[in-house]
Amino acid sequence: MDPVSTRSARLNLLIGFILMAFVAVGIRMASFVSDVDPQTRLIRSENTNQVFSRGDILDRNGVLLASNLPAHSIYAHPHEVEKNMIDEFLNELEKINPPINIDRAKIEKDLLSDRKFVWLSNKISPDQSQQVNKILIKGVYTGEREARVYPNGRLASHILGGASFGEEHVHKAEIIGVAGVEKYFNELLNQNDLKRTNLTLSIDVGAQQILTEMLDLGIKRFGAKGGSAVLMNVHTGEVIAMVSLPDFDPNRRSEFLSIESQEHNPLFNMVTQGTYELGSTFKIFSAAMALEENIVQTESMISTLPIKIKHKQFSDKKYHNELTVMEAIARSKNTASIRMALGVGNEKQRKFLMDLGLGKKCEIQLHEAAIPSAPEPRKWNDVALATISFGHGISVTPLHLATAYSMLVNGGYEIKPTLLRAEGVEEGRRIIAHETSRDVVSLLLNVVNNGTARETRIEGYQIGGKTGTSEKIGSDGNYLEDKNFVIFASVFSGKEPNYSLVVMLDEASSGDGSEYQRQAGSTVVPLTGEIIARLGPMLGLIPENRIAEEIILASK
Amino acid sequence: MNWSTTLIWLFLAVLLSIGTFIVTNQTTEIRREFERLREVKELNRETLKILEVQWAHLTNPDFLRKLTEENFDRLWLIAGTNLNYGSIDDLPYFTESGNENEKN
Repeated sequence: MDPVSTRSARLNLLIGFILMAFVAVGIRMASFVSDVDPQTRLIRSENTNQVFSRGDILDRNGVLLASNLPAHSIYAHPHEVEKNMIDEFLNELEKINPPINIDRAKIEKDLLSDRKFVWLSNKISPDQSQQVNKILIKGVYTGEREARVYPNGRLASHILGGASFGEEHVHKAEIIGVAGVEKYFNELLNQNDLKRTNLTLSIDVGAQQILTEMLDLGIKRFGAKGGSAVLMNVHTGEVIAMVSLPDFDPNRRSEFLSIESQEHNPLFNMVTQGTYELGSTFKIFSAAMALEENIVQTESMISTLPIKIKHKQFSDKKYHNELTVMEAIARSKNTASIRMALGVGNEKQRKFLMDLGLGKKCEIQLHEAAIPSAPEPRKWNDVALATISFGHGISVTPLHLATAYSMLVNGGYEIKPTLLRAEGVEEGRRIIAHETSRDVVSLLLNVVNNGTARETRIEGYQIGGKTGTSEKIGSDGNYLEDKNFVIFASVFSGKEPNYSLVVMLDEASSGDGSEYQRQAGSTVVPLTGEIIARLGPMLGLIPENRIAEEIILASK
Repeated sequence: MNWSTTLIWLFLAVLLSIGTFIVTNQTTEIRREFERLREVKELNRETLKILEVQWAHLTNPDFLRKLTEENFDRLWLIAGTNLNYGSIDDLPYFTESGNENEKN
C-alpha cells in the first residue's frame, strides 16, 4: 500500500473517532437539556424535600392528633467548658421564658466533669433556642431536631400513647413510639420510602371530647375515683371514642412515669388494661345463649326462687315464683340467669363466651391490652357456670364487653375492635342467629323502658342496655362490700342499634353512699343518658318523632 | 482538501465547545435556582406544618369549650343535644297574605 493511501486511511479513522466523540458529547448535552421524565423528577423532589420524617396521626375526619415540629437540643462538651462560667450560664438558662425543664444540680455536675459529651436538654422550642443562643458559653451548643407534638393535649391520650427519642445525634434524633398507637404503628409511621405515611384512626375527636367531658362530669358528680368509657360502631368494630380517667398529657408523658400506683395511675388505660368482674352486664349473655339454643323465648316463664348448686345457695334479694325472661333480665335476677345457663350447660356456655371474644386478649392495635381471667376448662364446673352466668368469676376489660354487646346486637356476626378507620362493613363469622340478635335487642330495650336503667331514657333515641355492679376485691382476696364499680353497657339508637357504649365508674355514689346510691341505676345510668343526648347529634343520629320545643315556642 | 477538512472540524469543535460552555452555565444556573426553590419549598412546608399544628391546637374541642364558657354572656352558645332537633315541617312560615301557613 502506498504511503499516501495509508495516511488517508489513518486520517479517516481519526475523523471517525472524533465524529463519534462529538456525537457522544451531543447526546450528553441533549440529556442535560431535556432532563428526566416528570415522574422521576417528582420522586426526586419528594425525597429531597422531606421536612419531617415521622407520619402524622389523624382522626377519622382528618383532624390532626399527632405531628412533628422543629425543635432543638442543648448539648455540651464539658472538657471545653470554662468552669468559672458555669454558674452564670445556669442562672441565665433559668431565666428563659417559657422556662426550660432542667435539673440544675445534675447539669452543674455534668458540666464540671471531664466527659466528652453531655445532653443538657433534649427538647426545647425554636423560641427557647433563640434565647439560649444568646447566652451560650464556650463548649455548650444547640442542635436542630424534630419533636413529636399532640395539639389536642390530653384528648385521646391513652389511644395515642406517646413518643420519645430513640437514637439521638447532635443534629438529628429518631422519634420512637413508646405507648398507644404510636408504639403499635411505630414502624409504619417511621417508614420513609418515598413519602411519609400518615395514620388515620377510627376515633372522632368530637365524640372523644364529649365522652371525656361527660365522664369527667360524672366522676365529679358521683365522687368517683376514676372512670372509663368506650364507644363502638357495632357493625365495623371501629372504636369511635375511648376514655380512661384520670388521663395524661402525651406531650409531657415522662412526667407521669414516676407515679407508682397502678389503679389510678393516669397512664393506666382502664378500658383495655383493667380487667373487672363486670357483674350483671353478663346476664344478657346467659339469656342470649339460652335463646340461641331454643331453651327459652323472651316471653317464657322462668323461676327466680333460690337455687342450690353443690351446697352453694344462690338467691336474689326479691324473688317471685316466676317471671318472663324479659322481666327477669329487666329486674336483673341472678337466679334466672343461673337457670338459663344450667339449661345450656358448661361446655356450651364456655364456647359461647369464647366465641364472643371474652377468653382472649382483644385484638386492638394497642400493646396495652390485658388478657381476661376466666376459669380453666377443667375448673368450669356447675358453680363456676352459675357465678359466670351473672358476671362473677370471670374478669374482662370494658372493651371486651363493648365488643361482645356489639356482636349480640349487630345481627349476630363477629367483629374485631379496631382503632383504624374501616372502609366498609366486613361481615364476620356468625355467632348467633339474626332472630336471636333481634330478641337480645328487645331484652336490652326493655331494661331501659321498664327495668333497672329507666333513667337512661331520652326523647327521640331508642336505647337498650344492661346495668352491672361489681364489688371490688381487697388485698386479702375478699370482696369489699362498700366499694364497687358501676357499669352500664348500652346500645343505641333504633331497633337495630348502630353503637354500643360502655361506661364504668370506680366507687361512685349518688348521695350519702347507701347501697342503693352506689348502684348503677342511680349513678352511671343517668350519666349514660346525658352522654347519648350529647353524642347523638355529633354522630348524626336524627331523633325519631322529635319536635323541637324551641321551634314550637318560637312559633307561638 | 486536508486544510479545508481540518478547518471544518476545528470550526465544529469550537462551536461545540461554546455550546457545551453555554449549556453547562445554564445547567449550573438552573441547579442553583432549583436548590433555592427547594429551600423555599422546604421552608414553606415547615411553616405550613407549624400552622397546621397551631390550627389543630387552637381549634381543639376542649379549648373551644373553654372559650364558649368564658364568652357565654355574649354568645349564648350551648352544646347541642337531642332536644335541639326538629322536623323542617314543624317550622312556621308565612304566606304573602301574612298568615301562618298550616301544614297540609
